Amino acid sequence: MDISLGLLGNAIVSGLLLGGFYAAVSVGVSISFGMLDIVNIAHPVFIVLGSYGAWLLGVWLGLDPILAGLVLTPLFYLLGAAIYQVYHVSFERRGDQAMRGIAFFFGILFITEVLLILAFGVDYRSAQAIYVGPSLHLGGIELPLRLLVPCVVGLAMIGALQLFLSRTFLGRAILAVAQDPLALRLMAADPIRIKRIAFACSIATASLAGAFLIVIQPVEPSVGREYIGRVFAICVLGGLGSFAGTVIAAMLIGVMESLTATFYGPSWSPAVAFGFLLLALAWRPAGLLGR
Amino acid sequence: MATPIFAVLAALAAAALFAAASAVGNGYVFFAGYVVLQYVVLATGWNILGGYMGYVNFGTAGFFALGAYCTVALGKLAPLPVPVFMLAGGLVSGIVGLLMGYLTLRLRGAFFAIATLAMAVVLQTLIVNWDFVGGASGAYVMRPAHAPILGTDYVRYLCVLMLGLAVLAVTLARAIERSRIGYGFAAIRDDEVSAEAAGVPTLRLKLFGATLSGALMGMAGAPFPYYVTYLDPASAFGLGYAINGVAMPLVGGTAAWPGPLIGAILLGTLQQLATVTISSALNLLIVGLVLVGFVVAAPNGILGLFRRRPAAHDASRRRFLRLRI
Amino acid sequence: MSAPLLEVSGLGKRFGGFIALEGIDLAVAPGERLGLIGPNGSGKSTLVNCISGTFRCDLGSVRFDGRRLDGVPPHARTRLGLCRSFQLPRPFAGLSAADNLRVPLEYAARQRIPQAEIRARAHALLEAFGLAAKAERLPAELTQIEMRKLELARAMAGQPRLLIADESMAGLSHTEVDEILELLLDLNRSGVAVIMIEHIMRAVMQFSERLVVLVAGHKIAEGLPADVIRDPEVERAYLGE
Repeated sequence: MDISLGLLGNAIVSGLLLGGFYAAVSVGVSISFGMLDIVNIAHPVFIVLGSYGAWLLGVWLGLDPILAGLVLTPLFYLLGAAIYQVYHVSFERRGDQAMRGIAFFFGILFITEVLLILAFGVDYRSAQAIYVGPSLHLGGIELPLRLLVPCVVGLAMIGALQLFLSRTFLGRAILAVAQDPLALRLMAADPIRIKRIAFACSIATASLAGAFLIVIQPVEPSVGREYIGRVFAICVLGGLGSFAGTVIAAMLIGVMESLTATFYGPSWSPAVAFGFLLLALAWRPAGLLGR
Repeated sequence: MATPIFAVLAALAAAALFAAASAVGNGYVFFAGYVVLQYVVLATGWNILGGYMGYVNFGTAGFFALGAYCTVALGKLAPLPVPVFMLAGGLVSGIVGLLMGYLTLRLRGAFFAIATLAMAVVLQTLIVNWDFVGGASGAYVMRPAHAPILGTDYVRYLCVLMLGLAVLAVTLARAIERSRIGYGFAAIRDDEVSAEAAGVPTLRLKLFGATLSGALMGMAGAPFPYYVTYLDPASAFGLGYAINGVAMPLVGGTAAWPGPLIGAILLGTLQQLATVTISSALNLLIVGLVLVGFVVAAPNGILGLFRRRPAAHDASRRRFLRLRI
Repeated sequence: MSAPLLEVSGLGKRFGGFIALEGIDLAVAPGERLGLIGPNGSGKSTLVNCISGTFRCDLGSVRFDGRRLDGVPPHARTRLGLCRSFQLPRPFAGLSAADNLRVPLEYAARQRIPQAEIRARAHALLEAFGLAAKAERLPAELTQIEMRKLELARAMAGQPRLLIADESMAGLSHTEVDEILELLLDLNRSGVAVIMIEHIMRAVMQFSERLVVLVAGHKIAEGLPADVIRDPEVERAYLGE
């Protein structure tokens, strides 16, 4: 009985910590899909890009991965701005082309993944850091630092973003453009510029999130694929565009996956998030009008 | 041109193609040709739901693998002829398409696409954990030395089957396009709410489209285990199928049946050449670049490049023009 | 007084905490011309959506020809003869004008029309609306009024017994309003009941046998047009202070 409870407790705690990480991974999509209605299914591959960035800086400069992630954030911001420009000119301006936009990001997903394979090969890469390895022990519960640190820093990142959105003028403009682009234009703010900044922010989060990823698990180019469903499941479950909802949904999925992996084996965990997503979508068909 | 006449012409064209390939004398033509034909069926099947009706399916790999694993599972129980496996694969995939449709077709656009991706991963996880068909380590399938009836080598026989399926798929797609159902599909694609108000039973048609699309894709996958002789989830569910399933119709043009055909032949052949000459990793890079390029610059695909202005007469060709996926 | 063709009883609809419609009672006799007016945001379109089945009503019921329409999807209601047009025209953008009419002719008619006849019927309908010249054009190539005519033609292709015309005249010129008015009157003469939702008072007054006023989700007046517009509450709420 004791062993089971301990196992259960650890599984739940790991799940919560994992959830914090998942939230950091999903917050970018919460912005791009939840607020800007841009279905960027390539977001996970940008996170993997972030992982390789952190890994490179670790190998070249001996930088701590999370620090490396911070350092690379401006670069990812610029990448996001560039991608939004292409997306906007090709799709948003032409009107109702939502599906072609998705196909666009689908293509970007593949291109990026293959470029990563060509550059780095398919071997797994890991990061070195002082917190990869040791764990805290609190009353029988084990808190692996490699999960705890990313979770804490990730939640801090989300908190900072939330403050940015609610306290600064730019942030509130982003929230406004999500609701009513026309009104924003009447207030002499350029919605395109605001959306570009928002999308760039969403890609910028991928830098740190990628650093978290390579701390938590070894990374190879196709690792992003299993995150596509997770990320969108979390955003849909959490209510599109709500950071608090994203965090709660992420923790929920993290715990469910952890419990599944502990008691049924890790080969079942990919299905958990996706299964959740299918059920959530079947019950809450967001996008239908008041049926 | 009435459907039966078209079917006969298509079958004749296919027979001529096969004869020409046999005359070449290099067996590799059939190895490569099988893959291209498979993509013709996948792309055409995808387009019924994606192009005609506007519901973009990213889970092509799921249906394809389902057909393949159906063959593996049934093959362990009884050694049946491949055409029977194709029917079985089509049936199972069709039913899964129906179920998936019921779960997800009440969603609009983006949510549907994401749900199809999720479904493919769920299916993959189920197969990975199913030891009867080999689980993660995969299954070996014995390819008979000689084909039944024809007596030629087996790959040639598989090509004949796939040619037949391609003719069926294209004929079916064309028949739908011109029928009452085709108009219903187009109405749903253009404006679902308006279609409902115009009397189109949208849910019923969507389920039909999903079932048919799934069935065709499953039938395309059914002979696959005999082609590769070793099947594992990683290759069966390869996202290459997902992206090709989307890219080929988009590149060729989703408005009508020649589009997926052109796209499959073009991209399929390109990829076969790339595999042989450069590397298979570059395959996906090429497809990704072509997809992005077309989606940005030529939204109506290759078909759209040829039919830019409305022709003065034939009303059914009007639908080649405006593309809204 | 013959049995009403359409009977709405105690209809209520809310969106989250917002009550869009409350306690709506409405009856339309076969072949009647009913006008429905009300300020913007009063719930007129919501009411149309509830009657047509696009929205599910939270309270009350809708009866057509005596049978309750609970859970009946919009396409089935259209088939029964309850047709609506959309406030903002929603044509099938990828189909020609003629094909736009094909869809309701194929699907909305109560009896299947043989294939050979459908093209002829579509063209006949386009003729009646003066759109024959644009038969093979895409909706994007039509003018404002042509789009609205197409929208009405689509609703009429379904052989309605009751047509809800939702602001079909918005933004049209004086003569264009007259054109649409004539088309609706023509339709009514053939026995089709019409509910006209409009802001253009001239058209509503000319057209309606009975007038209903909706304000903030409630019906505040009903009766002969001349009486209703003199009702002080209606004047205050709708026609301006």
